[in-house]
Amino acid sequence: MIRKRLIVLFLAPASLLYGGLFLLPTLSTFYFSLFNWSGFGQDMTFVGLNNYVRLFNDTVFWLSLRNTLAILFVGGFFVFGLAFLYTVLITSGIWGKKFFRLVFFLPNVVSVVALAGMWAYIYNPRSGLINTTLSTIGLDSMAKTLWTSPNNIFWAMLAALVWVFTGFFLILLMAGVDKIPTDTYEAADLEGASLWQKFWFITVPMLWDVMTISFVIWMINAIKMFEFPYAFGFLQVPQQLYTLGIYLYIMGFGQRDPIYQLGYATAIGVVMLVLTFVLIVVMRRLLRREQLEF
Amino acid sequence: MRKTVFAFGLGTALSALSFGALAQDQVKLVYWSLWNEPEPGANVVKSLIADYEAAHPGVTIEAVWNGRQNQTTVRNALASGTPIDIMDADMDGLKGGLAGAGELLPWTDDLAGASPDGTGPFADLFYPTLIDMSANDGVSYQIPYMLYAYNILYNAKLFRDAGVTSAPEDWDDFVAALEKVKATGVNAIAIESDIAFYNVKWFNYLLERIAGPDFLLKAVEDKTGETWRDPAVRKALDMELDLWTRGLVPEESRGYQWPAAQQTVAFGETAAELVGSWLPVELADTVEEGFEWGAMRFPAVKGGLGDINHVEVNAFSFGVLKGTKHEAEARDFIKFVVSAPSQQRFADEAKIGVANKSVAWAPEVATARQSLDEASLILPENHGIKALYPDYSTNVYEALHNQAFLGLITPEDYIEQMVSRTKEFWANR
Amino acid sequence: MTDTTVAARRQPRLPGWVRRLPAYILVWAWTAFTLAAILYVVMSALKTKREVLRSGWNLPQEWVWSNFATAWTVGRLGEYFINSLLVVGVSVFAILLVSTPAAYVLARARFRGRETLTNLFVIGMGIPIPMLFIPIFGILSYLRLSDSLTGLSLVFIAISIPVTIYLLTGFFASLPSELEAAAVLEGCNDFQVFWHVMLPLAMPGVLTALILNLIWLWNEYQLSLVILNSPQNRTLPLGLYSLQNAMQYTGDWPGMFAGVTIVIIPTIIAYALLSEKMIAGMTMGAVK
Repeated sequence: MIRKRLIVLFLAPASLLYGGLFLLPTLSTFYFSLFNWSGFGQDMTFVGLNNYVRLFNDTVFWLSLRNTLAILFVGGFFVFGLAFLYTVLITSGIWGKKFFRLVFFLPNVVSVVALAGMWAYIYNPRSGLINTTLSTIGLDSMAKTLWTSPNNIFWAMLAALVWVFTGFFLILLMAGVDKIPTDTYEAADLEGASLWQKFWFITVPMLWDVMTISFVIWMINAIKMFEFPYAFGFLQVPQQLYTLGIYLYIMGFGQRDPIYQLGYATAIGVVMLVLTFVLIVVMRRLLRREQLEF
Repeated sequence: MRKTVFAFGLGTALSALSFGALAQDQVKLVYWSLWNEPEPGANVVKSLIADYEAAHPGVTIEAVWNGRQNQTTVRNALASGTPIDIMDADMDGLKGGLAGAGELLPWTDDLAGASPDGTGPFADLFYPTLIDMSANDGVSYQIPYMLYAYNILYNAKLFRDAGVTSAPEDWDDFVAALEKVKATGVNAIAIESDIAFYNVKWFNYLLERIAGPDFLLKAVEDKTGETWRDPAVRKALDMELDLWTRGLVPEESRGYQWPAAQQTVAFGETAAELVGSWLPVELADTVEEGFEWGAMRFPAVKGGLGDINHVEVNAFSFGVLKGTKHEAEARDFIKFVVSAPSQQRFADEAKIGVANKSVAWAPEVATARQSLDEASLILPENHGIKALYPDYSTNVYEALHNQAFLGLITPEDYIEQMVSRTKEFWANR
Repeated sequence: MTDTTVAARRQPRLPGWVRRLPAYILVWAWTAFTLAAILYVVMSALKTKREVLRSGWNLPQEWVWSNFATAWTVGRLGEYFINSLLVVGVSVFAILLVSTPAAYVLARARFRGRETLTNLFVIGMGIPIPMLFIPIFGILSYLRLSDSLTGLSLVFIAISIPVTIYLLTGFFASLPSELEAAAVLEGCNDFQVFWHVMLPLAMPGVLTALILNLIWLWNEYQLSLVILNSPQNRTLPLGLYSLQNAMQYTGDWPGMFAGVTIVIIPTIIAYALLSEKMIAGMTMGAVK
């Protein structure tokens, strides 16, 4: 029905721009992952798959991968748990829905460095918000907790991260809920359905599409996660906060340490790409099957 | 009507052409900078460029303010053939980066030649061993112009109040002095838990004082990793951990994220911090009026092979890129920047130290400067391993030290892991 | 009469606000925290360099309005605001212009290699942006567009195509085909079907894509940092980035917060004004 000419005409601009300025250039750099190359000059040594072997034996790489997966799954659990909870609460008929929606989204428009500065104040061991509050209400032993000590800093960062992203996905989920006809809920109310039952038997199935998109967006963002944990480290990102994105950046481009191992960094990039792709495919499979049930 | 428009257009085109011809005599130097435009350092460079252009009518200098990640940006730009004449970066970064890759022009002849102000050889303008330290295999590819030393910076009043009148020169005296300071109710030492490269300075210095300036590099280059089992390593670790045990470093420091700890220094709650001489500038507007900065050399260890006059430093350096078409002008401008009057401007306004040894530093860092004057040996960042093995330095050396320093792993664990990670590093190379 | 039926009857009699009390408490807890956070940023912008470090959520002792003037002039935020507006505006428009037809074809046309092509577009979502740092310099200088807002726009368009196409193909695929068939029966050609029937139906989806692109391109600085060098070409996030760096090296935290405040206040206002429209779009958009 759609003629070939139109197909070509409609696809050409996007394909050219995307292929020429993004896909081919980046895929071509993946070729560097087979070399030892500093990025300076022409001095490249072919090392085959050595960079990948090295990744496999690199403690810091595994640490970064673990952190990335922790953000993806643990962070994702809380982001979506809270986003769902607040979607249900805000759409339960309380007054000021639009206002709350605006406020929840706000962290997404503030520069991450400013957010990191604020959270550093919140977590500060002595003068910080949490610990001063705790000691004011008499919880002196808890007020001694060092939220940003090396054993806690990753989780402290993740909590802040969840706060930012919950608002983003809340917007998407609320948009989905608004689309559900109100009489569905009214009918459920008449039958005496609880809030939980309404959520599970009406909201979730009706939200399936928006959830799929949200999950995919979260996954891609989580695997590439860079900005927020990076800003959380101000001068020097502590290793406890390394994600794959940060490690790639530090090995190939970054900060002030003259590491410059572009070949190795691109190998990390390849791993990230493969990881994303596999997860997208798996997600699509899982969600497609579910979709058939409804 | 149309004709006049055409003639007008032609005239403009012709005048543009002739202007173009004129402009050929004009030399335009492109300088990519490590400063951010709003920084005081950038303002000094701007004023120097203006003065230089006024004195050399044929030369214009275009500055591009990239910030501290300048070298990476330069690398990406060079890969596509962007013309750049001059750039600057951290000394050790440049050594391991552009200089190591052979992208910079050597300075050997100029350094042997006369200095810009005509007094003696150019190389003598700088602190002893500074030029050697920045060289790659004996060839200098960079000209340092800003310099900072790692010392124990302290609040002089708090030490006086505690009855410490002279800077301790030995570790035991140092610890005793800190105990006195602590007894007056202030914290002795400030530690930022998340900045591994600050904290590792304690270990660098202790290791140097105990086992001498060559030990660290030797341990890193031992492909079996076994040198890390040397008793000196354990001793250095125990000595720095003793500061925590004694409460000289308050326990809550484990949770301090930069700049939380240095702020306690600014507020007079903590007496001292081992850090670079940029600290007084960073805290200039935060300290109380009349805050008196002191800097002491890192104390010696009895019976050790190191020396109290060995000081660890780092610098900002200029390099001239191999592809430049205006080599002479580029070199001339850099010489102008390291000449005494220009350096004085950096010292006064940017207030970090400078590389020209004849120039006085700002009062806030005067004592840091004194430690350099007395220095018998200047050591590069992490004793050179940052330039030679930057990934090891960041990912293994600094990171693992921080875990041991903050009590995340035991000293035994630290040594075992250093041995195995050093082996891993060499196996992966 | 059993207990449960009593409970079931009694419950609806509770006044609405009582039943909703837990919801109010939970929602307000989050809201109060977030508002306090934003307030903290704004208040910190008004303090002295010394006060900002210790006074937490207290009001400034003296209100240092000059921090804003400093950040505004030193950071050249006015100029950069216009640059950002231009780059992001043009880019977002162009992204939709090229992605919408492509997504339509990928979703509704039948041709060989459609699945592969769709996957090729989708894979772009997973490419880490730093991978583009090195090659983009060469390409842009070949096109004589390096260090220019035009060049940056082109790159913005290229990197936003994958997620936009991903969103829109899903959207187009879900539209009912009856309307399409009816339009063909009435004599519309394929372009007319797209233009008069499918595109209007897809408008909510297009709006969603517009919003997502707007949000993330407005804040993008990693790539911009690599592509733009001249100070006069900087975008707002770059200006802020440079300001923040400089402030960190001079300990001027209020100055940094002032810069951030200058940038977020108009964003918040724009968001408050537009959110109604935007979210209305999403309501139908992401959810079909």
